[in-house]
Amino acid sequence: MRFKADEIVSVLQTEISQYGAQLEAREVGRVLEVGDGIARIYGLSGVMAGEMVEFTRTKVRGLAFNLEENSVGLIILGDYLEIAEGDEVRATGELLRVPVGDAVIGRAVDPLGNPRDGKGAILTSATRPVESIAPGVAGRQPVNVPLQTGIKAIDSMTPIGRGQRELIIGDRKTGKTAIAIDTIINQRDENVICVYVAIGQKESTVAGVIESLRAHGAMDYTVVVVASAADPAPLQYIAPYAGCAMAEYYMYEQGRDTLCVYDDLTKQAAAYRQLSLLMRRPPGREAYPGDIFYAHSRLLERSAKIAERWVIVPTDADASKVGADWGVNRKPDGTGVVYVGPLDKEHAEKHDLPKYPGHKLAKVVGSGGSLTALPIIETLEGEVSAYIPTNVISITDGQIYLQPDLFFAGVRPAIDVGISVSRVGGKAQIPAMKQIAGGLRLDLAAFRELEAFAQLGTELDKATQSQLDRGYRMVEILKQPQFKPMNVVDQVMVIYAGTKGYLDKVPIKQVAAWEEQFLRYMREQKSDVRTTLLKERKLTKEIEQQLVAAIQGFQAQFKPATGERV
Amino acid sequence: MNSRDAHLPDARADRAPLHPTVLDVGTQRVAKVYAEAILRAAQASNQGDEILEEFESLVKDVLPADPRWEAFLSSGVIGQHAKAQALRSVFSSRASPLFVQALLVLNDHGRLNLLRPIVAACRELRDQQAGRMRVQVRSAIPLPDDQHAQLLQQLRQTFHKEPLLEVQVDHDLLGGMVVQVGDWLYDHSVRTQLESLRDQIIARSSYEIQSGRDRFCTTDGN
Repeated sequence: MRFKADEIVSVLQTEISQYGAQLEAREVGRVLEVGDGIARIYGLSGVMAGEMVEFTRTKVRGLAFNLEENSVGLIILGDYLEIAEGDEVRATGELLRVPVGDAVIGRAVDPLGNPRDGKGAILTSATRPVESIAPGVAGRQPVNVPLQTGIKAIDSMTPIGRGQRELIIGDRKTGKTAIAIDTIINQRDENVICVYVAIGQKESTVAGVIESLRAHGAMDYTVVVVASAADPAPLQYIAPYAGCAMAEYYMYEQGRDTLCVYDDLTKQAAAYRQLSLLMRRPPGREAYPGDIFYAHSRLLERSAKIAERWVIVPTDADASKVGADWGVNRKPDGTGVVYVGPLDKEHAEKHDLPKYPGHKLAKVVGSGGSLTALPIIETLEGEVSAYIPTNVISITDGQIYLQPDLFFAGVRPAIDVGISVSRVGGKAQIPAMKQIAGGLRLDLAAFRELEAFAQLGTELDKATQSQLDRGYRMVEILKQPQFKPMNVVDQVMVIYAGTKGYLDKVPIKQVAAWEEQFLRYMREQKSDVRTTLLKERKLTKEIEQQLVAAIQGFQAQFKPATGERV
Repeated sequence: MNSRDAHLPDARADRAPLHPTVLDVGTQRVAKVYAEAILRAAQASNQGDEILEEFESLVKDVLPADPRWEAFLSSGVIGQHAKAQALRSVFSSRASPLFVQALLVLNDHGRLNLLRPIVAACRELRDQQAGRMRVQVRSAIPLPDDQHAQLLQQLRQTFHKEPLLEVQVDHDLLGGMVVQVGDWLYDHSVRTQLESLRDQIIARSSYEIQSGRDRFCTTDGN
C-alpha cells in the first residue's frame, strides 16, 4: 500500500486556504483545585447548570455541576490527571451531546460516543443531548404491545410491554445480565433497536457480553455503551443517559421500538454518590445525595410508548411518507386533523372516516415509537429494602426477582415467580399467552402452598399428590438454558401442554427432552398448527382442538432421553 | 492582591497563593461590609480614590516588605491595645487620618487579619462606583503608544466604562494579543490561531481518511 501524497496535500491546502483567522471570544475560568473526576473553577460566571465546558489545554470536556457564589464545580469527562491548577476552562454554551443513528449501531462506544471497539471513528453528524426531558402525558399512550423476551417464565408470568420499565433485581451471580442478553438476542426478528449500557463492570465481562451478542447476530441492531470499572466516576454517571439518548433517536425520529438495558444502576448510583460527596453536596441515607431518586426517575421516565398519530388520507397515498399535515379533513384554522392515541383513532374509524369514502386512516411516519427499559439492580444478600433497590422498585412498572437459592437448585433463569410482578400485566401479552398464563399461575400458586407439606413427608391424598406433580413439571417447563430464547408461539404450546396435564405422566427428568422433541415435532410435522397460531396469535376453539390432537399424536412418538439433562 | 491577577503567569512564578480567599465565602461577605463602610466614610470627604490608594500601598508595598508585619497584625496573641499603639505610631504621621482611623476600627473589631480581602473588595466597589473596569492585556511585544490608545478607545466604546489596562508582555503568544475583561477572553493571538488551524486540519484529514480510505492510498506496487 502506498500513500497518495498529492491527495493528502490537496486536503491540507484547501483547509489552509480556507482558514479565516478571526477574533476568538470565550468565557473562561481557571482551575482552583482538581480531584478524583471533579474540579473547582474560579470565573465562568455566566456558565449554566449542566453546560458543557472544555479545558483549553488538554481538550478534556466537563459538565458544570455545582454553581456556587464564587466558584463552579465541574465533573470531568475524561482524563483528570492531566489537568493542573490554573488551567484555563472555557464555556461552550452547549449541552453534552452524543452521536446517534445507524453509525453507532453494532459499535461499542464510551458514554461520550468515542469508539471503544477499535473499529475506527464514528462518522455521523446526527447527535442528541445526553439529558433530555421525558415525554409528557399527552405525548404518550398506554403500553399494549408485548416485548417478547423469549424467556418462558417472563413472557408468561411477568410480561413486558414495549415502553415499559421492568426492573431485574437480584444478588450477584444470579443471572441478571443473562436475562437482559437473552432479551436482546430475542429481538432479532422483532425489529427492535437495542442499547446495552454497561456501568462499572469489568472490561472482561463486557467483552464477554459483546462476544456473545456478536455470536448470536445481535450486534446488527445493538449499541453497547461501556463505562467500565476503570473509567472515572463521571463517565459511569452519565453512561445510562447517553445510552438512553441513542435509543431515543430511534424512538422519536424514526418511530421505532427500542430496548435499553442499564447494567447496572447500583454502580451508577455509587458513582454519583462519589461525585456528590467530592462536590461536598450533603450526604443523605447511605451517604447517597438527596437527588439520587431524581437521578434514576428522570432516566427511567424517558422510557415511553409514544402516542401514535393518525390522519385520514386518500387510499392511494404512500403510507411510508405520511406527514402530520396530510389529513384531508381540516380544522377551522386550516391545519389537517391529527388523531392522537388509541381513543382518537377509534373515534376516527367510527365517526370521521365514513364521511370520506375512498379514504383510509394512516399512521404519521415517525410516530408511535417506544423505549423499553430494563434497569438492573444488584442487591446484597437479598436485601431489597436498601435505599437504591426500594427507589428503583418504586419507579419501575414491575420487577423480576432472581433468587440465589433457585439458581443453585438448578432453576435457571432463577426467577422467583411468586414475588415477581409486571404492573402492565396482561395488556402486554398476545391473546394466546393470556389465555394459558392464568392456568400456569394457579398451578404454581397451589404448588408453592403444598410444597412445604411435601417436605414434611406426610402421607398425601391423591389430589394433593397430583397437584404437586403438576407443580414440579411446571417448574421444570419454566427452566430454560441461556442463549436459547424461544418464540412466543412455542412457549404457548409447551405451557398449554403442561397446564392441561399432558406432561403429568412424563418423568420430571424427561420434561426437557419432551419439550425439545415436542417443539421439533410441531415445527416439522404439524407446522400448519404452528403457522396458524403464529398468524392468529390466539387460541381459538379450532386451533385448540388441532393443538390437542397434535399433542396426543406426539405422546406416542416421545422417546425418553438416555442422558441426564445438562 | 487581586485574585484575578493571581492567575497571570508572573504570579504563578513567585509561588504566591493563586486564590487567597475565593472559596471562603464568609470572609468575603465580611470584607465587603467593611469595604463599603470605609469607602462611604471616605466619599463623605471625597477621598474615595485616595484611601483606596493608601490601602493598596499598604498591601502591596508595606506588608510584603517584612512578613513579620502581617504576622503582627493578624496575630491573636498580641493585644488590641498594643496593635493600636503600633498602628498610630507608624501611620499617624505618614498617612491620612481617615486611613489610620479605618485601621483602628478594624483593629477594634479584630478584623485586621482580613486586610487583603477588604482591600480587594474596596477596589472592586470603587471601580464599580467610578464606572471603571480592569482589563488584563497580554501581548507578544510591548504595546506601542498608538496601539495602547487605540485599544483604550475601542474598549471604552464597547463596554461604556473607563478601562484600566494591566498590560503584560508574553512572548509565548508569538503575535497579536489577548484581552480579558471579567470572565470573557478576547483572543487574537497567533498561538491560538495556529492551534485552531492545527485542530481543524487534523479533524478534516481524519474525516477525509475515514470517509474514503482508498482516496489516500493505492495498492499499486504491492
